[in-house]
Amino acid sequence: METKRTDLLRGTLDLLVLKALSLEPLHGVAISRRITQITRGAFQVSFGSLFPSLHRMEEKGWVEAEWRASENNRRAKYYRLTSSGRARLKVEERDWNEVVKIMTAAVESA
Amino acid sequence: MPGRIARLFRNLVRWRVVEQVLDEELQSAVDLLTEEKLKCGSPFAEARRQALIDLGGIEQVKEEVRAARPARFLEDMARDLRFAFRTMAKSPGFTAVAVLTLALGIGANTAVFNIVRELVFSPRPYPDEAQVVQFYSQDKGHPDKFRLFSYRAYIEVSGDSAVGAVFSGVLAHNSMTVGIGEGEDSRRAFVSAVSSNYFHTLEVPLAQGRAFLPEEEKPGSAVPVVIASHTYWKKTGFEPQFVGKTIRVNERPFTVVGIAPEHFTGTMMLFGPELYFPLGDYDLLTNGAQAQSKGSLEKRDLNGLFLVGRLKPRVTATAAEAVLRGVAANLEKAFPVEQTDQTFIIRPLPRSRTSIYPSDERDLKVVGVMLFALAAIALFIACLNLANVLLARGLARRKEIAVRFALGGGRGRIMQQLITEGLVLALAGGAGGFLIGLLSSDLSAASMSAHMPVTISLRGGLDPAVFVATLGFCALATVFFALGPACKLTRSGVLADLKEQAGQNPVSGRRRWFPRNPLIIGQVALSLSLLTTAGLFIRGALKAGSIETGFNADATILIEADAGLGGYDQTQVLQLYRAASDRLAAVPGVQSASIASIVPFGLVTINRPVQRAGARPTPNSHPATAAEGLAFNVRWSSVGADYFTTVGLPLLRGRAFTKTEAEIADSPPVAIVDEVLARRLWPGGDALGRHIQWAESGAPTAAGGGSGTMGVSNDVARNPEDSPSIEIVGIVPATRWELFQSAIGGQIFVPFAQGVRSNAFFQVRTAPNAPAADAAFFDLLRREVRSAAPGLPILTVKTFRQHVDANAQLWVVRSGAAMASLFAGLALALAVVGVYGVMAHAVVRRTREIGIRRALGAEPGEVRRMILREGLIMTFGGALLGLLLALGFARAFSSMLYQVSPLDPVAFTVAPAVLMAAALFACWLPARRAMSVDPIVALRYE
Repeated sequence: METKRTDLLRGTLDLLVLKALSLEPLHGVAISRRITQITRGAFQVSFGSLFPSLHRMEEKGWVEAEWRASENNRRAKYYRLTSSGRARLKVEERDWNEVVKIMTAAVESA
Repeated sequence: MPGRIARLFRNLVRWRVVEQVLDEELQSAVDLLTEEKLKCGSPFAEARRQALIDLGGIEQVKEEVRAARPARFLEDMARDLRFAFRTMAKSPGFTAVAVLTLALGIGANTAVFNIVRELVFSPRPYPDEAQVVQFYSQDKGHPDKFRLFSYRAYIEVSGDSAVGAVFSGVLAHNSMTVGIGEGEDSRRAFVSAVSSNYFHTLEVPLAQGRAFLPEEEKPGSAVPVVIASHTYWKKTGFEPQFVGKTIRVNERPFTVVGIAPEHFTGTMMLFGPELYFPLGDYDLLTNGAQAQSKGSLEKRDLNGLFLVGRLKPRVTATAAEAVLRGVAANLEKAFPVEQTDQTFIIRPLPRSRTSIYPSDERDLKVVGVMLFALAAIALFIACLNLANVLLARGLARRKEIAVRFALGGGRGRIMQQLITEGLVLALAGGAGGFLIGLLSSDLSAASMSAHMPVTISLRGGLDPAVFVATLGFCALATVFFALGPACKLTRSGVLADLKEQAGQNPVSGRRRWFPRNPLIIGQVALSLSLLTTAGLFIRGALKAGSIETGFNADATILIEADAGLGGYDQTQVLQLYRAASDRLAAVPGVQSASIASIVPFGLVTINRPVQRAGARPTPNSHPATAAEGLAFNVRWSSVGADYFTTVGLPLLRGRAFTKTEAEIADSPPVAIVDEVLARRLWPGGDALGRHIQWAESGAPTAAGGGSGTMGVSNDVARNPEDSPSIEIVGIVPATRWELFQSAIGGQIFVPFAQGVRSNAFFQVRTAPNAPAADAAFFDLLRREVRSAAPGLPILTVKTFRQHVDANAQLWVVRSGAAMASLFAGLALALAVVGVYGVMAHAVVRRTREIGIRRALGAEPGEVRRMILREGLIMTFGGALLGLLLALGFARAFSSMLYQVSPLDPVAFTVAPAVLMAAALFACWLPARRAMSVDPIVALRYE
C-alpha cells in the first residue's frame, strides 16, 4: 500500500480530482485515467486512494454522484462537480499557487 | 453541517444500503477495467485478474473507503457490535457459560458487599455520626461489670448543666418484644421504648407526624401513642392517612402519631424496631413479659435504659467522659445505695448490637471480611475460567483472524473487534450480575427476617460504586483475555496459522504434557480449596443439625404462647397456664404434658447467679470456691410438675416438683439443678437437700456461664422478693441449650409458679403408639388449649426438632454451608468446563501426533488412556496446590466451623475425590475423540 505517497498526495489529490472533473462528469476509472493524462503520466493514482477521496468529497458536497450508462452501456457511478465544488476548485488552485510561490522562494533563498 | 450529520446518520443506520452501493461501484469499476484489458486482446479470465490487481483488490479498496469516512469510529463500533452478537449467537454454549460465569461472580460479590456495607460501614441515617455515643455504667470495683441506667439517673444525667454544656442531647431507650395484632392473631415483633427527645437528639426528621411529648415520657403515664417505622408502614401497603390510625399491641389500642423516615432502623444498622413507644408505656409493655423484674420505671433501682448522647460540635469524647465521671461521682454521693461504685464511660455507638457491655465490634469486621473474601474468591475463579474459555476460543479462531489479517485488516482493527466482543460479553454478564445481585439481596433479607422477629432494612438496590467496580474489573479481565489470540497472532506469524494446526508446535519429548496452561492449574487449585471449605461447612452444618439435644426431639411437641400479648396480668397467667396444661394432658395420644418458661435453642435465655445459702463474702474478697461464697451464673427456667418426664430427662437423684409447688405461688421455694451445677456448688458432697440463694448483682461470680449470642439474654440478679433460702430437691443430667456452647451444663429449674413468665411453652409428649404428630394433631392441640384458655394468644406449634431447626444460630451455620456449597459448586462446574476445553484443544492440536502413534501401531485404547492420564496428571498438579490452599482456608475459617476440626479427614478426602472424578468426566469426551482419530486423515495434514 502506498501509504506514504497518499499522505503527500492527499492535498494535491483533491485538487487533481476536482480539476479532472472540471470539464465533464466521469466515473472512477475514467477519473484515474484523466489524472494520469493531465499530469502527463507522472501520477498514477491508486484506486485505494482515489475512491476514498471521491467519497470524502461526496460527503463534503463538492461532488455529486449518479448512476449512468458508460460508453459501452455498462452501469457506472458518474461523479460531477457541484457549484460548491467549483468554488472549492478555485480555492484549491489559489492555495496551491501560494504554496508554490512560498516554497520556490524558500528553496531559492537558502 | 446538518447535511453531514444526516449523512453520518445514514451511514450508521442504512449501512447495508451504503455498503451495497459501494460494492456495486467497485464491481462496476472492475468491469470497466476488465473491458480495457479485453480490448488489448487478453482472454477474459486473465483480463479480469489483471483488472482486480489494478484495482488493488475490492475488499482492500472498500476498507480504504471506510477508513476515510468521518464517522469511522462509530461505524466500526457498530459493525463490531453486530459481528460480536453474531459470533455469540453462533456458539450459544460458550456464550451462556461466559455470561453466566460473569453474572454469578459479579452478582454474588455485589450482594455480599451490599449486606456487609450496610452492617459494617455505610453511613448512618443521621448527620455527624461520630458525635453520637453510648453511655455505659461501669462498676469501679469490677471494671468488667456493667449495667443499664435507671430513669431517675437518666433525668439527673441529662438535666445536669455540665452535661448540657458538652452534649446537645441525651436520649434513653430500650427494646422489647410485643404482640402486634393482625386480624384475630398476634405476631411477635421487636419494638423500642424511647424518650421524647429520641428523634430530635439523633437529628432524624420524622417522615410524618410528630415526635413524643415530654408528658408521654413520664413513667407510668401510659399514653397509648406509637410512632411507626417506615418498614411497618410499608407492610400496611403505605396506608394513606396512616397517622391517626390505631394499632393493636398486646391487645391494647395505640394511636399512630408519627412515621419514622425511610432507612432509619434506630441505633443499630440493618436491624431495627418496627414500632417506637414513649417511655411512659414501658411498664405497660414489659411487665407482662418480664415478670422477673416487677416494678415501674419510676423506681431508682430499676436499671432498664440504654443512654445515648450527641456530643456538641468539636467536643471530644475524652472531655465529655470527664464530665460524666463527675456526674457519676455526684450521683454516688447523693444516692449511695443505688449508685454505689458506678462510674460512667462513653464509647462510639455500636452498629450491630445494643448491649450493656462496650464492644469494639471487631468480630463484625472479621465476619464482613470473611464473607467478602468468599465472594471475591468466587469472582476470581470466574475470571480464571473466563480467561480459559476465551483463550481456548481465541486459539480456535486463529485461522479466522489470520485470514482477516492477510486480507488487510489492520492489527488495530482486529484488536478493536476483539475488545468489542469482550465488552459485549462483560456487559451481558454485568446485566445478569445486576439482576442476580438484586435478587439475592432481597432473598437474603427475606430469609433473615423470616428467622428473626425484627425488621431488616436493607437499602434497596445495589451500591453503584461496587457494581461499577466489579463490572469494571470483570470487563478488564474479559477484554484482556479476549485479546489473547490477537497478541499471539502477531508473534507466531500469519502463515503458521493459516496452515493446518495439527501437530505444528514442535515440543520436545518429555515436556509435552507438562502444564502448558497455568490458568487451568490455578482454577483447579481454587476449585479444590473451595470444595474442601464447603465440605467442612457442610459437615459442620450436619453436625449442628443433628445435635444431641438430650431430649426426644421428635416425640416432644412445643406450643408457644404468650399471655402477656393477650393483655393478661400475673395472676391470670398462672390460672390460664394451669388450665391449659391440665387439658393437654388429657388429650388422647398424649402421654404427658407440662410447661416451661424457657426452652433450649430458643430466642430468649435468662441467666441468674446462684450461690450457697448464707454466703456473704466480704466486699473486697475474692472467693475461689462455692464454699467461700462464689456465685455461678447459670441458665434459669421455670417448669411444671411433669416437665422432666415429658421431655424425657431422667431424674438422677431426688424428686420432681409436685403439682402444688408448680401451681401455687406461695409454696416453699425449691429448685432442681443439673449435676454440673451440683458438683460446682458442693464439689465433695451431694447437693441434694442443701440450700442455695440468688446472688446479688455485683457478687463475685465464676467466669463463664451461659449467654446467648443471638437473641435476647437477660441477666437477672437477686430481687428483694427473692427468698434467702431455696432447697435443692432434685438433680438432673446436664443438657445442651444452645448451638455454640463451649461447656455443657450449669442449669437451674424452679417451679413454674415461683417463676411465672407470660411467655411460656407447653411441652407435650406423644404416646409411643399414638398417631403421628402432623398438622391435624397440632390443630387438635391448639383447639384444646384455646378451649381451656380462651383468648390466650398461641404463637407456634411445632415439634422440638422443628423448633431446633428454626434456631437462628443454626440458620447462620446452615447459610454459611449453603453459600460455601454454592460457590464450590460453581467453581467445580467452571473447573470441569476448563479442563474439558484444555483437553479438547490439546487433542485437536496434537491430531498429527496421535495419527503417527496410531500408524505406528498404538491401540485406540492406548491413545485414550494417554489422554486421560495427561488430563489427570494436570488436574493432580492443580489438586496438590488446591490442598495447600484448602488447609490455609480451613485455618482461617476455623472459628466459623461448628465442631469440625480444620483438618477434618472426611472433607479432605471427599473433596479431592469429587474433583478428580469431575476431571475424569471432563477428559472423557476428548479422550474418546482422540481414540477416533483416523491415522490416514491425520497424517494427511502436512
